[in-house]
Order: sequence, then structure tokens, then C-alpha cells
Amino acid sequence: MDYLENIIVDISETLKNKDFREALESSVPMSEKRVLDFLNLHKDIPKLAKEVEEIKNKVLSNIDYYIEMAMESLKSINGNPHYAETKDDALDILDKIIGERNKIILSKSMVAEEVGIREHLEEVGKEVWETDLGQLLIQLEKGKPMHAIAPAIHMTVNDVINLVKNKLNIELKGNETPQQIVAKIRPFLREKFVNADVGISGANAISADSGSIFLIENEGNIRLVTTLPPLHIAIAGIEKIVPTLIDAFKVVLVQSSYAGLYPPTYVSMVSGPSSTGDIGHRRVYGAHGPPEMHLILLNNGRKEAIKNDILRDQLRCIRCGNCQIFCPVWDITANKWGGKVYGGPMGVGWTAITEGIEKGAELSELCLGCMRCDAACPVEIPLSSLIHKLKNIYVKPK
Amino acid sequence: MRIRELIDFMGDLTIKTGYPVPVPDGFSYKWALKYNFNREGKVVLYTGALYQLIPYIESLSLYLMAMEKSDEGGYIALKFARSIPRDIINKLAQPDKKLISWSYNVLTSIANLLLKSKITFSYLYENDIYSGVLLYDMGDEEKFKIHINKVFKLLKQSNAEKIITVDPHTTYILKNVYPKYIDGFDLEVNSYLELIEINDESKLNKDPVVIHDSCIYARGLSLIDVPRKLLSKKGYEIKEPRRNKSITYCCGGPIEAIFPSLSKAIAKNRMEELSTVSNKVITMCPICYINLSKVSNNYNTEVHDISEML
Repeated sequence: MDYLENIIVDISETLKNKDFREALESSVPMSEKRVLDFLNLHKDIPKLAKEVEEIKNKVLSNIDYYIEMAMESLKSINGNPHYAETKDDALDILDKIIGERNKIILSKSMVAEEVGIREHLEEVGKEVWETDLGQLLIQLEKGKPMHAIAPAIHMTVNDVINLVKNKLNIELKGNETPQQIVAKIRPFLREKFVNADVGISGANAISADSGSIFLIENEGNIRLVTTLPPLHIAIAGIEKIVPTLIDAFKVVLVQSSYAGLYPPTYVSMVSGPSSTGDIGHRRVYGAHGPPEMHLILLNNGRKEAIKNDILRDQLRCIRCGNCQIFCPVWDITANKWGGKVYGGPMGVGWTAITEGIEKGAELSELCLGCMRCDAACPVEIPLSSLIHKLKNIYVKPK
Repeated sequence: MRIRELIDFMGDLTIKTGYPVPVPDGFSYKWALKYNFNREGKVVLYTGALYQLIPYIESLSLYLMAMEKSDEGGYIALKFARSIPRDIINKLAQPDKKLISWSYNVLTSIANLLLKSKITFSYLYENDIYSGVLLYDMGDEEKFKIHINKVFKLLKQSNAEKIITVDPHTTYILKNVYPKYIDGFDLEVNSYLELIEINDESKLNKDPVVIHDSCIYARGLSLIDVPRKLLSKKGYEIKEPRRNKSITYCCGGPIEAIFPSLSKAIAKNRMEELSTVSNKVITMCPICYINLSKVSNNYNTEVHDISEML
């Protein structure tokens, strides 16, 4: 069986899974409505999204310049920038930074999934824990994230109870509410936060002029991952770079709005390592946060995609996940219609960029061509026509 | 290779016969035999045969599914279907006669609405071949290009300057896609919905109807208000589903041939929403009609093409 046939077989099995269906039905329509209602009330946000579209286009036209600027800026504030051409390069860099340190906590990052950081670190014998609750469930399930923002969107409360009981050995009766489940997991993860040697995060945006990374969240785990352990490593795709700090803030506001999470509970801006100048008027590092901070910028197909007429627009994507929620196919399949990491309309393009254009082309054949994703995208990526062009490649490989 | 088989099958057949599935002679214009339309003229009614093809696409799909004995198997059996002589497939894949009669009734209603609106048009009869939309949608650009040049030539031979279409897919493909592929494409294209007039305003207190906008009309062609105005003039109380107009939700039909069970799951999703608004669902696309009709029994709803309501 080829790649697409395997996807179809997997989705066919999923169609028989009533829990999967129930979980999506209970969340997707509500999420879509929340975003639409919000946008109706906040007419300034689509205007801001238009600005973000232009900001992203500006960076894509001069990516090497902005990579260089971001790396120099980070160096100037005592951070450690790294450039990784491939996933393997990223893992090599990561291994060197981590060295003998053993206890590692992760905040949810799609690029960490793309690189396979968790699996790699587990393989080399490290103790690794996801700290985003949804992503922790994915780790326990040994699955893949089912949505860009809500990785465990496909799980019912019962699914979660069973996972937590069986995989974490946390005592649960089986009739707990989500609130009670969260309360049980909290002390388990608290201990991981406090004792971790390394915290690994992603980045929602990176400002080239200051070397700052921006992270948005509602749980609070990212703040702990980036501040409690003595070493913070962030990893992000090069397309996350924007020219200025203000631009980066615009990106995170637009992302949270279209993800249905406005206002974001927490926005973290990390500009290098923690420091203080309070004693002897000399700046020293590692006051309360980590004394050492690294940023790995990953290419993995992105620069090549900038030069590709079909894929270039996909790099504007801010991963809000709104096209997934809007897509009638995704509403049934979640990221089962997708590659290793990225699914749904945006996932077709991202799979083509990060796993090869042939895989994206195979996925494209399950697109309805209904153009609903086009209406959902805040940065006006012409998703349906991008996917249609990949169909041409599926039929006639270049 | 299975989906490639399906795409090759439909592409080859379109090049060879003008249609993407096995069909009997005359199936596309039988509905028009009772009229004596001119075969040439500046204004041409071009159906693109999508309404007429629906019964045959359905029967082939059912036949292929039966071969695979699974709901997902339509495409798998194509590997075998290509090697089976076409006359055998024709016999095995018996179209639903009610569906054929429905498609002819819809086209008759449309022709009558145009005539009643005093619009003069000609019709191509045996040259009313397929628009090639499925080839385009599946990504077979090469065979699509070959086929649409044939369609364009036939339309030009009839002296056409303006084209009247009857479904959203054919309208979109002629209006927005043909010009990208055909040098010198100079035909004006409009859906019949944009041209007809409802003069016999009726204020009868009819049951409310819920509109299922076609994705292509709503998002591809911004044709949103027209069907509402026509139905209102006819005295219908129009109800709107939550996902309507520019954010209308797909019926699942476009992937029916590739992945029937996924297509059905999407249709159920949509019908569940429509049925909470009214049990009378109005469609304006043959693909929406058939895909939603297939699940309508589960939701105690009836589906009608807009032309039948006007």
C-alpha cells in the first residue's frame, strides 16, 4: 500500500471509533463559533492579521538577512543562537547543549514534534516529560498531536481518565470531572517542573531586532518550563522570525485570536538568560530563571519552500489551527488526515515542506476543494488552491 | 495506486467518450428532446451534463463498492474495472431510474424558468458534453486541458457568445478556470439563477425551507443573495443554518468517489445541522442533492433542488 492508502485505512478505522467522533463533535463546532463570534466583535483583529500577512511576506523575501539579524541580536543579549539545516542537525545541537543533564521537561511545540525531540531524548535514556496537559496525553498515548493548538482534541474525558490511571498510576475512580483530573495531574507535573535540568520550548514568534522569543499559552506550563530549569532551549522554524518586537507581539495576538484563545492567559517574552545587576552593579546571569538560554532555528525544507511557487505561501502560517476547525474533512478525521505532525488543510502544505512534496501531494487528494479553509486563514494563505496544485503533482509527479 | 487508477479511469474515459463514467448514448440530452431548441445561437444553455451524470456516477460507485464489499472500496475496485469490458460495466452498473427522472425534471424546470423569463437560448444536444470538472478537481491537469479545448470548440462552433449554466461546478469551471487554460476564451458565463425572473409572486404560507448554500456558488462565485431572493419571491419562508452563506459547510460529495464512507460522514454532519432548522432542505447543486439525500432518511428531512421549488 502506498502512503495515501495507509492514511485512508487509518481514517476508515477512525470512522468506526465512536469516542473519537464524540470528542470532536463536542468541541469543534463550539470552537468555530467562538472564533467567529469573537471576530464579529473585534473588527480590529482582521486588520492586524492583514499586517501580519505583510510582515511575513517581508521576511520571506529576505530570510537569510532576518536569520542573521535574529542570531546576532540574541548573541548581544547573551543568548546562544544555533542554526540547524536538518532535523538531524537540530538533534546533534540539542545533544551537545544538554550533555549529561538528565531530567527534561517540554512545553508543547510542533517543531519539537517535527524534529522528534521527545522520542530522541527518550531513546538516549533521558527522563522526558511533556508539561502541556494535551501534549502529555499524546505522550502517554504514544500518538501524534491531533490539532495545532489542542493536541488531545480527539480524546473524551473517559479516554483521559483511562490514560492517566494506566500510564501515570494516578488513582482515579472513573467518574472524575475535568477539573478533578487536572487537580490530580498538577502535583505529578509540579515535581517534574521543580526537578528538571532542562526546559525545552517552542516559539510562536521571534523578533529579529531584539532576539526575543514570544510564547502564548493558557495553562502556565510554558512560564515554568522556560524559567524553572537552569537551562532553557527554544526551538523554532525560521519562518517564525519577524523584523521587530512589535511585529512579534502582533503575531501572537492574531494567533491567539484565531485559535479562540483571546486574550491569551499568558504571553511570555524571553530575551536571553535571566540576569540581575542588583549586587555590586555588575550583571550576573541566572537570578531566578535559567543562566543559560539557547535558540535553535530550524530550516528542514523551509528555505527550499520559499523558492517553490506552490509552497511559499504556506510559510506565512501562524499555526492558529483555524483552518483545521473550519475543514469538513478535518472535522471528522482530525490530524489523521495529515503527515507525521501536521494535519488538515495547513498540514498538507506543511507536510509537503517538512516531509517531502510527494507526501503532501498524496494527502491533497482527500481535499474536498470546498474553499472553507481559505475563509478561515487569517493571513490569507490560498490553502485550497495550494492543495489543488499538489493534486496536479500527485497525478503527474514532477 | 488505487486512487491513481480511479483518476486514470475517469480521465481516459472523458477523453474517449466525453464523460467520466460509462453512460448510454443520448443520456445527456434526452430531457431536451421534447423541446425543439435551436442548435446554434449567441446564447447557449450548456448543462455540462453534471445533473445527468449523477445517476451513473452513483451506480458505478455502488458497483465498485459492492466489488470491494466495504464502504471504502469504491476506488480499490477500479484496478479491476479498467480491465472489464465497458458494456459489462454498463449492465452491472444499473442507474437508478428515479434519479434519472429527477435529473431530467430538474433540467426541464430550469429550461421552463428561462423560457418563462423570456430568455432565448439554443442547446447543443449531443454536443452537451461534460465540462471536465472532476478531472480538474482530482488534479488531472493534462487530460483536463485536452478535454476543455474540445468543449470550447463545440461551444464556439455553435456561435455561442454567452453561456447559461445550471450547476455551480460547471459555472465555476467555465467562468474561473477555463480562461486560465484556454487562450482567447471569450465566453460570458452566468448561472441560470442570475438570469431568471420570478413574476408570479406568491404569498402562500408555505412550510419554511432551509438553504444549503453550495460551497462553489457561495465562496467561489459569491452567488449568495440570488437564490434567497428567488425563493422569497416565490413565497417561501427561508431559514438559515448556522454555517451559511460565505461559511457554508460542504456536503462531502466531492470525495465520494475516492472515499465514500468519509464523504457520508461529512454529509451526516451537515444534515444534522440542517435538520435542526427545517425538514425541507434546498440545494442548488446536483452533488449536494445526491449526497445529502442519501442521509436524509436518518434525519427525517427531504431534499429539493431549487429549480423544482421555483
